[in-house]
Amino acid sequence: MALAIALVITLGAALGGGLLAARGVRMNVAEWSVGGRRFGTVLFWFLLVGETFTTFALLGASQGVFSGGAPGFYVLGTVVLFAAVGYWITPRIWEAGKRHNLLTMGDYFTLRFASPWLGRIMALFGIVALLLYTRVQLTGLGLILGSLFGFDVSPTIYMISGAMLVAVFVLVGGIRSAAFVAVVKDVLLVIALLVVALGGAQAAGVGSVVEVFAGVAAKYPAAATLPGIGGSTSTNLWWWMSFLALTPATFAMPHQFQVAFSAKDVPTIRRNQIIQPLYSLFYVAIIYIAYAAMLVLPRLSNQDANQSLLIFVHQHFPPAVIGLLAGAGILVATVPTAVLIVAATGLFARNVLGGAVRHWGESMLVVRLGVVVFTVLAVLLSISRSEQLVTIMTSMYSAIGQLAPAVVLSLTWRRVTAAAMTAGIVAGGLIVAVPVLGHLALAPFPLGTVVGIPALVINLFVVLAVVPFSKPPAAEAVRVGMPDAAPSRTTADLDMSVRAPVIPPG
Amino acid sequence: MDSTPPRRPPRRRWHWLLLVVPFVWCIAATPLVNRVGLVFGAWPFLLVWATAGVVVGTGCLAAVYLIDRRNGDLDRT
Repeated sequence: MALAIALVITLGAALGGGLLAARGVRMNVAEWSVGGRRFGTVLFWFLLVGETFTTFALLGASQGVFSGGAPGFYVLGTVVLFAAVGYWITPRIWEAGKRHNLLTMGDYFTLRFASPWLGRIMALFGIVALLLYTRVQLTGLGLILGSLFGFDVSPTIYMISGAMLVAVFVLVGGIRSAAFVAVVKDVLLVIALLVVALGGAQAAGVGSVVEVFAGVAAKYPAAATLPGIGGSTSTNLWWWMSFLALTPATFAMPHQFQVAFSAKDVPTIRRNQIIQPLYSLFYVAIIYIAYAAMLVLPRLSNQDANQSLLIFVHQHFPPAVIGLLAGAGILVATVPTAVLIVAATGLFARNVLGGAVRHWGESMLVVRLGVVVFTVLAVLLSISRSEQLVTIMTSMYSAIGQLAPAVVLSLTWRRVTAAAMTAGIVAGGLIVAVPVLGHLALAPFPLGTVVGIPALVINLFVVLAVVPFSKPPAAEAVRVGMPDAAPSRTTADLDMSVRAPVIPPG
Repeated sequence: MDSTPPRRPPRRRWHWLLLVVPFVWCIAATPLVNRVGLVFGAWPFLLVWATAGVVVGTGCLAAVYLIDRRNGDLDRT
């Protein structure tokens, strides 16, 4: 029963969304990767929401609350902080994309510094980060279905089927498919969570919402404040503050460029920065469900706590609800994966291959092959081994956060150079990636601070140190990121679109 | 084609300082908020505060948006 409901929901949404998205649109690379820059408020909103609320919402977010109480509340801060930064930065990225026909983050860096090699390095780094993120989604999908259905099948089966579903609707409609399926996904997710939350108190064996909170307060007095139940330095105040301070740095994820470029105009983007955080209020439902689960489930290891919400639903709710949540869960994993695959493929085709043979960056055949390759890579990466989701997310946040100074400086400082930024990213990236360096860099900071913070500081220092010794980019390159940087426009405006070989359709 | 009139220095957008509010609310205020513990019986104050932060932050974004719209600055990046 649960399985049937989930299947109907997923296949219906994926096929319906995929077909609707491709209807009446002639596919080319721009259409496929940024939806022809035509998304209005509604579609853009769903696409953004689709990217913000991933499997992490169902797993990591509830795990944080279930395991520790208060430390998990941080999720409520993430979206609003992201939006406050995005109000300024996303329109500027969008504008660069609109003026110069950019389709990827690699395109942006290539033009902004008149430096294809920088575009290529950014693209390769971005692809690695995207694959890692894809792995989080697919691993999450395996966990979600594994614990909701409780069948005795390997999560690998779920991951492979999920990945195939993604590949199909991405091949059909690219980012438009993702946006269309996201509409179903986010409506369903809210309905599923509300249904579970409404039944939460009863399932926890108490009478009301108030009693759920009272029950937890009595059972776990430490849950109300940081560092939470069994608190350690990894969930203390410094952790909370440094982790949240880093969240806006996720706008440096390559797929954020993709999403930004798909918007129709600047007001569309800005309106969305208002609506996004409001939608994040649904984390309150997840926190509440985690609280209810704390009353009836035993303490779980951090690993198993990822599934606390799902185990709770599996044990205490009827098959119809389980099926609804499973259906939403599949889409919650597949929609972001779709966008990640689109972004990774775009980076690869345009900035890695396209640097060598330019018209490959405009070829749908290359793009379609890319989708297949990246989907297979993502699956292989996911089935290799499994770690705790939050840990992966945190280290990735930190690593990708090292691109953030490059993005911000490229929009604000005309003197910054490709060499300086690369040096900074390498320095920051090493500190995040190599534990010994990380410990060393963290030494002057209070215990609990996320390693991304000292890495960012060092990253910036390295940039400042290298800038005076490197050649500044040409004025027209600077204007890609800073249109007001020079008094008048030159005749040679930069453009990423290919003019020479026209590839016949089909 | 260089006959564009000399540009006036663009209006300062002081109201954008409102965008700092979410950072103060969600990050800088936490040490104080975390001291409170439970309010009205069983509600963790940090949870109440974080939830209010979403509403307040959205309000700030909406205010910035409306002021920008009134000034005709919505397209200005």
